[in-house]
Amino acid sequence: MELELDGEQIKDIAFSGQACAICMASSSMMTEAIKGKDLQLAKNLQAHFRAVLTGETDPDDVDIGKLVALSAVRRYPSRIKCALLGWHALMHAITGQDGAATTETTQAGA
Amino acid sequence: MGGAVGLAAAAQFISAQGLAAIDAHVHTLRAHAVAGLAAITGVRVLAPHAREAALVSFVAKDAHPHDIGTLLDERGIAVRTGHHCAQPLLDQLVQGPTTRASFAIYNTHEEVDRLIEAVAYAVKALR
Repeated sequence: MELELDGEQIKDIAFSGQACAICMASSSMMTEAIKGKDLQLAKNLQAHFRAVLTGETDPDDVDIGKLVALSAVRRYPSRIKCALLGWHALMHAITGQDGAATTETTQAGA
Repeated sequence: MGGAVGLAAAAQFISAQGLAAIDAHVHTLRAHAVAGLAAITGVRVLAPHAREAALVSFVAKDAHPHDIGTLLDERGIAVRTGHHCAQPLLDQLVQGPTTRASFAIYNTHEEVDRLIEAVAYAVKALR
């Protein structure tokens, strides 16, 4: 995930890589949704999208724009992380951390 | 308590069937699956000569295992997809995730036919 920031504004964003269809589609839609927008909007959208996909929020109760097209993924628990991976990398990039983001927790075990 | 009872029942079942008979059954299913999957355009069966295995793993050009798995799931077929808790090894040997079907005493050749058909459909749909 590559970001070009102009202050608080996301001037440009692109991702590269290979993944499953849901991950690629979600990442692509993410770049379209936040390009030219500000960081706070991106963070809000990430929080809302994540909440919809994990079932915390009903898609009718929140405005996520075109991302609502992916809300059906919430009925496929094993695919939720696919739809969220790009957003996870984005959040990692926004907080300015170097290197690869990880989805591992600090707990031992699977 | 229930777990111990279940384990005892399973051990008795396996003894009654006989390990050799179970092996013969699952190996035949595996051979059937390998032949059918290998014949699908774009599918590469991994370790096709591992005749003692009770599972078959494969990769498909332009079709990610996650997506294959979801399409098979919709047809009532459960496979495992991804790195199978062995990402470093798979990255060395295969350079990516795989789709894996495993066979047990209760699986049938009819089910293997369904698997082959579903994978052929999935690979075509995802291309």
